[in-house]
Amino acid sequence: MNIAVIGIGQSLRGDDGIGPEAVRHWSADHSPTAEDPQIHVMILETPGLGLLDDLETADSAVLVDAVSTGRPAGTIRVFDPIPDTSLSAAEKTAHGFGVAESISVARKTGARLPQRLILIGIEGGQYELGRGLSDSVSAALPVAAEKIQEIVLDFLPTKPRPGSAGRGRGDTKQDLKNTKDGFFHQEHEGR
Amino acid sequence: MSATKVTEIRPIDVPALARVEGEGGLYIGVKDGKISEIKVNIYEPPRFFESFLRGRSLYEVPDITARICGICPVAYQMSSVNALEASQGITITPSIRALRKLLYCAEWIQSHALHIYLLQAPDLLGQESAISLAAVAPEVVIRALRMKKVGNALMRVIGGRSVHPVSTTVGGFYRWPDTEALQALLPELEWSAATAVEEVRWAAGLAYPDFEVDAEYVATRHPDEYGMLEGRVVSSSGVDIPVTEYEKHYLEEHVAHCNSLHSHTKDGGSYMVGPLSRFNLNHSQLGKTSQALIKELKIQFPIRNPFKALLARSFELVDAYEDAIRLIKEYNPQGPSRIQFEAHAGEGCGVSEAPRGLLFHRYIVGEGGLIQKARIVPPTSQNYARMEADLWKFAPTMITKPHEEATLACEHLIRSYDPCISCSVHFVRWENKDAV
Repeated sequence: MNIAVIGIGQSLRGDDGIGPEAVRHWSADHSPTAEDPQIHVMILETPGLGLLDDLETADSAVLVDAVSTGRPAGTIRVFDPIPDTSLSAAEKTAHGFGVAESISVARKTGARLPQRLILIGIEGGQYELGRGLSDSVSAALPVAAEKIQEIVLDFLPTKPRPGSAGRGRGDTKQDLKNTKDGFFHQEHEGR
Repeated sequence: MSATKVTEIRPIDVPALARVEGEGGLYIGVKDGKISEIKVNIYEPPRFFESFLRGRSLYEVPDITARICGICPVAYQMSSVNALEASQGITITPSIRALRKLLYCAEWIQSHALHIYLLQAPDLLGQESAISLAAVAPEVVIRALRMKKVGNALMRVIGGRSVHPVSTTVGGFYRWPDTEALQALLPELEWSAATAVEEVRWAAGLAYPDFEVDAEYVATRHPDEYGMLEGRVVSSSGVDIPVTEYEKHYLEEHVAHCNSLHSHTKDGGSYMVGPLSRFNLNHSQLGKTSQALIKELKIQFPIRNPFKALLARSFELVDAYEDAIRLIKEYNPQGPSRIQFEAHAGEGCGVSEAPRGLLFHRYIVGEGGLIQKARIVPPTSQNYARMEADLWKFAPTMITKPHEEATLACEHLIRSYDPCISCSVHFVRWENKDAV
C-alpha cells in the first residue's frame, strides 16, 4: 500500500502556503502515522501537470491545497471526488494547471490515478507575494491536520499503534529531506 | 441580395491571459471604428531579483536566478554561469559542457512539449483549454504528457529534481550524475524522438491563422551547433556580435502600462527572440532528421507567421531528443565535475537560449566574489514590443469579426510567443547613472 499525503502551494504567496503548512502540522501532531512506511509525504510548490507523475505510484492519496470558491477564509472542505471545475484562480497556478485541472486531464486521457483520491481544500483569503498565512487560515491548521489524519487512517489497512507519542511540531521540518526526485519528502522506505 | 450583417466593433479586453506563465492582460482600444491603443498589460508585481543578488556570493547566483522561473530555471542557471565564468576567466571542460547541454535539452523538452500540445494546440484545434482538448483528442494530450515526462525524468537525474534543479554551480556541477540512471531513460527518449518526428508532420499540417509580418529575428549562434548553450548574438538584419556587445545593440526601457521592461534595438525597432527566430536564423544547424523534414515538408525560410512558432518548437523537440540520446550514449565524464577557482573581482556577461528565447546576464563581481551589480534581460521582456507590433497589424484584420473570435485570435497571437510573464517582471528600475 502506497499512500501519498501531498501539501501543495507556495509559502511565498500568502494563503497559498496553507497546503504544505497543514501537512507539516499533521506530520508533527501524528508522527506515528506519518512515519508509517506505507505513507509518503510530499510538499509540492507549483507542480502543475507534474502532479500526475507524483501520483503515479500511489494507491491512495490525500491532497491539501488552498482553494478559492468564495467561502470565508479558513473554511475547510473535503472534495471526494475532486471536481473537474477549477478550484483556484488560474493566475495563481503555473500555466493554469491547478489540482482540479490536472486531475481532469488525467481522467480524460485515462492516465493512472490513485484508486482513492481526496482533496482537502482550505479557502484562502489573500495570495499576496511575501505575506504569510492570514490569521483565519492559520486558525484552520489544527482542524485541517485532524482531517488529514482521519482520511489517512481510513486509507491505512493496518492502523498505527495507539498511544505512540508524537515528537512535537518543531522536529518535523528537520525530517523533511530534499531527495533526488525533486521535492521535500518524508521518506520511510527501508526502515 | 441579403442584408449585410453589421458587427459591432468593440474594444478587446482580456483582464487575465490564459495559458501563459504569470499574470498579465491585453487591452485593444477602439475609437471611431479603428484601433486606438494596444497594451500587453503586465501587472504581475516586480520581483527585484537583480537587487536580491547584490552582496551575495557568486556561487549562490545560479540557484537564486533559477527561482525566477519554474519553467526555464536551467536557462537562468546557464546564462548566469556563462557570465560568471567569463568574469572569473574560467574555461569549463568538454565533459562539463556536454552535461550542461544535456540538462538544457531536458528543459527544452519539458517546456516545448508543454507549450506545443497543452498551451498553443488548443487554439489551433478550436478548443478552450488542454482539458477540453483532452476530451476530444485524448491521444494528443497522452502523447504530450509522455513526451514531457521524460524531460522531467532527465532533469531529475541530472539536477536532483524536476523543477528548479540544484546541481549546477559556477565552474561545473556539484557531482556527476549516475550513468545507469541516465541510460535507463534511453528507451523513453527514443520513443519520444520517433514520436517527435511524426509530431513535426502534424504541426506542419495545422491550420495557422493567415498572417505574416516582417520582424527582426535575434538569436544565439554557435559555430558548431544549433545555438543553445552559448555563442554570438546574430540577427536577420545582419547583426553578428560577441555577447559583450549585446547591450550596445539592444536596449531596455520602462513603459507605463507594463511591470516588465520593454526591449528594442538601438535604432528603436522591435525584435523577436525565441524558437521562430532560432529556426529562421539557425535551421541549417539542426540535425539530419530535421533537415530531411525541412526538405520533405518544403519549409520556406524565413517563416514570417508568428503563430508558426509552434512548428519551430516541434523541430527543436526532435533535435532536443536526438541530442539527449547522443549525449547520454557518449556520457563518460572525465576529471572533476567542476573547476576549482579562487573567486575574485571581475565582470562578465553571457547568453544562452531559454526555450522562449535569448537570455542575457551580466554581473560585476567584487573582491571575494560578492556580486556588486547584476543585469538580467529575459526573453519575454524582449518580445513584448514585438507582440504589440504584431497586434497592430493583426488586430485590424480581426476587429470586425465576432467579438469572441477576435479576442481569442489576439490572445492566441500572444500565446504563440509562449510568454513567461513571471520571468519578465524580475527587474528593478535603475535610477543611478552608473547602473548597469
